[in-house]
Amino acid sequence: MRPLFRTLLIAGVALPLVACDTDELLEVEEPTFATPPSLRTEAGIPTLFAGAIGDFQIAYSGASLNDSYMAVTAMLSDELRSADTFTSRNANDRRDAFIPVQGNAESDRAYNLLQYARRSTGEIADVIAEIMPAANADARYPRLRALQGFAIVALGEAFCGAVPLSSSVNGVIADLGTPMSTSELMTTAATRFQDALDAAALGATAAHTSALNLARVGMGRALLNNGQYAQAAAAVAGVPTSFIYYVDHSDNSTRQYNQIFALQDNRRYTMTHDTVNDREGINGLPFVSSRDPRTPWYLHTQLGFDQATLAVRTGRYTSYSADVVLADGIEARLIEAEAALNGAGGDWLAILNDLRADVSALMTARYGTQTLTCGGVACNALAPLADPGTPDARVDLLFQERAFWLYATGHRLGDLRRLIRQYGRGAESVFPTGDWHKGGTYGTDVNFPIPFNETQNPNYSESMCNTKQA
Amino acid sequence: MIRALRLIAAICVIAAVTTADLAAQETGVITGTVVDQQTRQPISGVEVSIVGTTQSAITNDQGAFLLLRVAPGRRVLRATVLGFAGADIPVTVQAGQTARVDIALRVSALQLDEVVASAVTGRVERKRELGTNTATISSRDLERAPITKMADVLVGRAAGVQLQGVAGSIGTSQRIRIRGANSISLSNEPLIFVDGVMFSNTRGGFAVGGQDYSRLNDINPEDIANMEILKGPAASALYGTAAANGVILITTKRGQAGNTRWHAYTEFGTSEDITDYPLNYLPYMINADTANLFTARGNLNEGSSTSRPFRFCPNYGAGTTPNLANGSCRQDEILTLTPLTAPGLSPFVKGNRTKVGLSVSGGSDVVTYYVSGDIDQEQGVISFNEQDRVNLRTNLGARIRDNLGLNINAAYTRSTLALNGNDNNIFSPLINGLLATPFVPTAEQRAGSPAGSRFGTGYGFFIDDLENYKSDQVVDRFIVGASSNYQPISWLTVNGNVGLDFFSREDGTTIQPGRLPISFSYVNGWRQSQRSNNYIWTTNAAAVGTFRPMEDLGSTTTLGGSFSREQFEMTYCYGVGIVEGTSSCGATSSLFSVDEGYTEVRTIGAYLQQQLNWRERLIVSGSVRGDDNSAFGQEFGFIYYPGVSVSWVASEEPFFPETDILSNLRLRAAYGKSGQRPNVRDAVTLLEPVAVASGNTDLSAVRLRSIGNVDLKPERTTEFEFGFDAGVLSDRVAIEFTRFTKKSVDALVNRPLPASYGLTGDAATTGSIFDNLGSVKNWGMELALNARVLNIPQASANLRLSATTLDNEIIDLGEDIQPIVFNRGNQQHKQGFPTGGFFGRRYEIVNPGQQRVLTPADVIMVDDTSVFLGPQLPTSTQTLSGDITLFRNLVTISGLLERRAGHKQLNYTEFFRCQTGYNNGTQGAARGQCQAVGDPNAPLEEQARFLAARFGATTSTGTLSATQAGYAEDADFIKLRELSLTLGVPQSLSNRFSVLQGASLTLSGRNLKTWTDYTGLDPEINETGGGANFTQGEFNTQPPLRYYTVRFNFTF
Repeated sequence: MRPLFRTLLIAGVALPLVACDTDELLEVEEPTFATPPSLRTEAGIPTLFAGAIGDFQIAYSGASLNDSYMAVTAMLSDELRSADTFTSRNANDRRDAFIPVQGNAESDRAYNLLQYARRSTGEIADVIAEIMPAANADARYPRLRALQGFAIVALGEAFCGAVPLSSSVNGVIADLGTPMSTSELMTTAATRFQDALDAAALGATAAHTSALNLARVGMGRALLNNGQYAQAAAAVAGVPTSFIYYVDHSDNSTRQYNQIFALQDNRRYTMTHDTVNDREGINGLPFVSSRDPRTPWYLHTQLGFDQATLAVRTGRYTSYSADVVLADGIEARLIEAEAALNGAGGDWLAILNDLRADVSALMTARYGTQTLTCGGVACNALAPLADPGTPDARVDLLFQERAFWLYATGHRLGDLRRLIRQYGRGAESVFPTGDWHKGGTYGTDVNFPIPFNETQNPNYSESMCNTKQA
Repeated sequence: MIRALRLIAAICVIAAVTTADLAAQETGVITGTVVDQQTRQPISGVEVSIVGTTQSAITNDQGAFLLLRVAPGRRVLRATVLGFAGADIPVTVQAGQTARVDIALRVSALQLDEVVASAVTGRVERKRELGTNTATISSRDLERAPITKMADVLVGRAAGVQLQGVAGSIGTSQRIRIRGANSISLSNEPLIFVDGVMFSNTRGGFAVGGQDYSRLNDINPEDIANMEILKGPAASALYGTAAANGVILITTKRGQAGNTRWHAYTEFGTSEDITDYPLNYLPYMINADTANLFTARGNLNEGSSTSRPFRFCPNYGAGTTPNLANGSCRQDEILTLTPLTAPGLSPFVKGNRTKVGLSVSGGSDVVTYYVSGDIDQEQGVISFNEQDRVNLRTNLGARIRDNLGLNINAAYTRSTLALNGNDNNIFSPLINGLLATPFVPTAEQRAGSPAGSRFGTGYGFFIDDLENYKSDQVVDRFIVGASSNYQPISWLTVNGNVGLDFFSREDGTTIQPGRLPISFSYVNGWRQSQRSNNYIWTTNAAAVGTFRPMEDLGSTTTLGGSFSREQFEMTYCYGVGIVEGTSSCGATSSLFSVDEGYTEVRTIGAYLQQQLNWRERLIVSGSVRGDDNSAFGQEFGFIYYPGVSVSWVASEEPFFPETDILSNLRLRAAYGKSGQRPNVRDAVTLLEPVAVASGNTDLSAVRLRSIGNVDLKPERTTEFEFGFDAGVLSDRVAIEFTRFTKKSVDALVNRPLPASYGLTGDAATTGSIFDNLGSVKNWGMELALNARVLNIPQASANLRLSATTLDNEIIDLGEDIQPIVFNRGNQQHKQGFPTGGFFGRRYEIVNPGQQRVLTPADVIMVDDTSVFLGPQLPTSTQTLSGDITLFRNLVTISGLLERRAGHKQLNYTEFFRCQTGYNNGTQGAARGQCQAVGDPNAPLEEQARFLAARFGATTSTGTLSATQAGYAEDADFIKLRELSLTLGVPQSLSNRFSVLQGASLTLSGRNLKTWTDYTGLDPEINETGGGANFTQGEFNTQPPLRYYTVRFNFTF
């Protein structure tokens, strides 16, 4: 090899190596995901806003075959029962929660998703307030604030009264929350709804009106949970009966599926029904055999997933993309009726009967005409209610009406707990009890435990969580 | 460090192009044979190398070797082979002359001169130079063993190396653990190199219930020349950020100068499921129609409370003693059956394997070659669990010049796998059998209902239904590499290698419409498909300078650098409503989903190693390596991994008494540090694009995907080991003893956050953050005894015994971090206990001596909180293997026994069988059907663990709480893994066929016998195969199969 050639070769190969920068060598692409700073701009807000809306959708009634709030609460109450082999779902149905360290995939996920949605809706609302020139006039702000309030209400209605609300911003951990009782949670939710009400009142667009009514119903629900009947009625007074706020679902991706449809399609959950009676655990309501047009149903072509339980599906949700009513004018009226029954003024029975008289239109507006059948034939007509005459019977009647009107929308568990907490009923007189349909007997839980991971919060300990207390 | 790296690069380049004149001089030849000193039999496979050069040759079946183009002068030949003591023979080579050297090797069970080639530096070192205990598995160990796949090679052959989670489904993966588990949240798998190219053992494919897919088995065991296992950082410090869990170095076969050698083999065999499956129980009341069991079954209707299995009698849960004779809990008969083995119901067939292969090797003084091809087909005991594999390999070696060698290796693998539903999947044949009613369905019943409702199976599926559910995986894999060693001047060698491990993987599942009509998507049929490309580029360069500053002191300095790049890219599609007979996402009509993914990791490293060698018997080495990685935190740069080792062959000291009793003694000690990088995205907070419904449209949106930690640095594991190698009785017995202690610091803990932060979402958003928090310690002992029991011309016998102990403890989980719980609450990472230990609340039986039907009140809780039940990793392992060769290699018998003990296995199969039921027809309810539920005479322990798990027991604080502790069983076992008989062809017969150099017939069996008190399906299977880091338990998992194999070998 000639010396000159060799020298040139050395220089040609070695010099670029000597000059190379290791930082450049270690630079890699990330085409799949975005980073928070890239979207914290005015142009990025629609994407962030949609994300927060989506987080609430998943938490309340989505997440495909994974359970979230609406499904687990329907399971613990008398709305749905397990046709599954999953021990976690059976435990929820049986009111016999696993100890937290063992973990219950379904109720744990519901808790996680609600906290996630609470954080997300609040965080993006704050981003809108920070970035948009007139944040409070932007209808997206009150909508997110209201949804944040609903997430807190759901945490309060479903879980034992020791729920911390910790904070984090942009993935950075901020403060660890102190466990809150159900009442404190409702009070906290009310502050979010009030924030939403104040902001929504600043605008006059349809979006503002929708956010306003959403916040009103949310406020009413939170106040009702704290036994503030008159204030609750006042909060919802302006909500028209025609108002509907949907949690939107889609068949575009599995996580967007309407979860109750997906789980019933997969035969995991069934409406309470068998050949003997369809009152789950003695105290359950006859959602199937009553052939009530508010709880339409149809049979699955096969048995439940456990190969034993008859699978009866709710006619409210007949596709993966079936939307769920989060808040509407019916609920506003029901709140007014309950307030009236508790002496806040008004004729509680008339309010209920007005709704019943309009059942076809109200149900069709929400779920479409094709769903209003019971087992393939027309459901029964609704006759006007008569006053049962005693205070307890009136309460029973009111809560039965709420159960049918608000069936499978995430209200029933909260109502059963309210019956215990606010109306002095015994847990075993309102919750399913006695023999469980797959053998053994029901447990005594009235709410869900908080996931074991929360013990990573030094402010929280397992002993604070009592699943037997409404 | 950056400067050092640049300097190294420059040195390598300079060295690579300087001086070419050495090649021009005239050369000589060395030839000869190698024989057994005692028997005078030729020894094949001996590596004969010229010390100080890169030249070497391998002896053929006649023990002959040939080294061409040897530079003239005084040379030292070094002969090494497993089973014999190495020998250094001086020889003088004259230009144009042939020097003949015949070498006689002494049988030795002690292997001090066996060589290990570093995949990083390219250096070849003798074991006596290493301060660590490095395990070796050679092709000789595998020749007669019933090896069905690469994973079998690692079972029971190296102390401290374990394959865990070995299931019987074809194509599935296992965990490899070397000296325990270092990392709480990162992988505990070793790094693997094949001929210096980093090998991807990543798993992946569509989930089918539990078992994961194996990439390890892409390697063809037939091609392996040897495997070296560096068991931990003390040995693998130079491998840097990735080597904390040890390194497996696989070297494939290469050609030898001399005659062309053909090797052909064919293998065929059968496999069978030999599991003793538990019976399914059904207690029932005989009614008027006693002849008709099916009618009797009707009495079990839930609505009729007169005939429930006694566990489900009214108020049973409340403690009422059931009345078994009359009334509501009457049971006249108990029907038992296991459909998994019942004729006409069993889903199992006899599996079969065929394998055929051909290799040719040979070469000249300039070029050597090894070319092989292998076709391996296997059908499992589920008829549609099949795998076809084709392996092709070409290894070329070239001596371009006397001082320049080049090796090129190219391998291709095509694997086609169909994997059935398994474990936690309603389409698993096992789950349908283990949960089935103990009735044999009539033909009408079989045909009378759709798939998903078939009477007589757990979830309503017969095996012919289940064939419609499987996941297909096709892998095309190329591993190509080139390595060179260049000796520009006598004291300097430059080694370099570059390689690529690439595989494309196509995963697909197609469910044809109506075959499994259980829900919308199955009624209409669906398809999912993922196509991915996986790349690992490996580049290493090192300059090795050898000096002799004093006559008795040698010095070797190694300076080098590495760069690796791992890249993964994939596309995915899903759709529902598929056109009958098609299998394409394009043929679906609704519920579409698509995805695209990309990840990339880069690592750069540089190292310096200095070795001092005093008279070949005291060797001290020190090294340091620095690494930087794209996954480290933003604030983090290079990290350094030091290593030091000492090896002293004391028996070669003049003062050491010469005695046959202790014929050899080496003392060794080593310390080293290696690391493990964080996962690709752990340092970055990321938002995941998702779709969100808004009215009738879907919007683009994001959700928080992961929470990054910009301060992340690699987890570092430090290991110290010491021990000795001793030759006893004239080296007929070798004893290796090692004591090791490994400790991970800055252990990356995937710290679960309180969900109240709102950072824990669904499965894709874990709500945890990686932090360098913890510390894990593994310590134990390894004892290996290798004895040449007999060595005479007519017979020889070897016996190998190894015993290891392992202790493992989480020293620190991080301040204020509560235990990390997983596996349905049964395992925890908890400070002060072993990683992934089993925890639970223990219970006991009131009045345990009295056989009876227990009620919940008979079971009381011992513990108020979960207590440690036992470790996940075996704490004690022993293997015993041996071979006897008779009649001059005409007959060889070999076998392998393994014992593992001290650990737990979760018998979730039985838990679930007790909790869940069978298809009881259109009216019945699902009920448990294990013996504890169905048989009043079930052992008390069985009843108690069911009751404790189902109804719970009351703690001292009055809380009623369930526990699955009874299903975390002791998993001790002994297994007869391998047994084989090989018959050779007498020399007189092979002499009649001039072409035929050798032939043999091997009859072998694998998984022949298990001794265990474990009551589940198998003590070592795992629900997730090799896919989970610590999760351990069976859940309707296919146990290992028993194999019988016949193999013919021909050499010509």
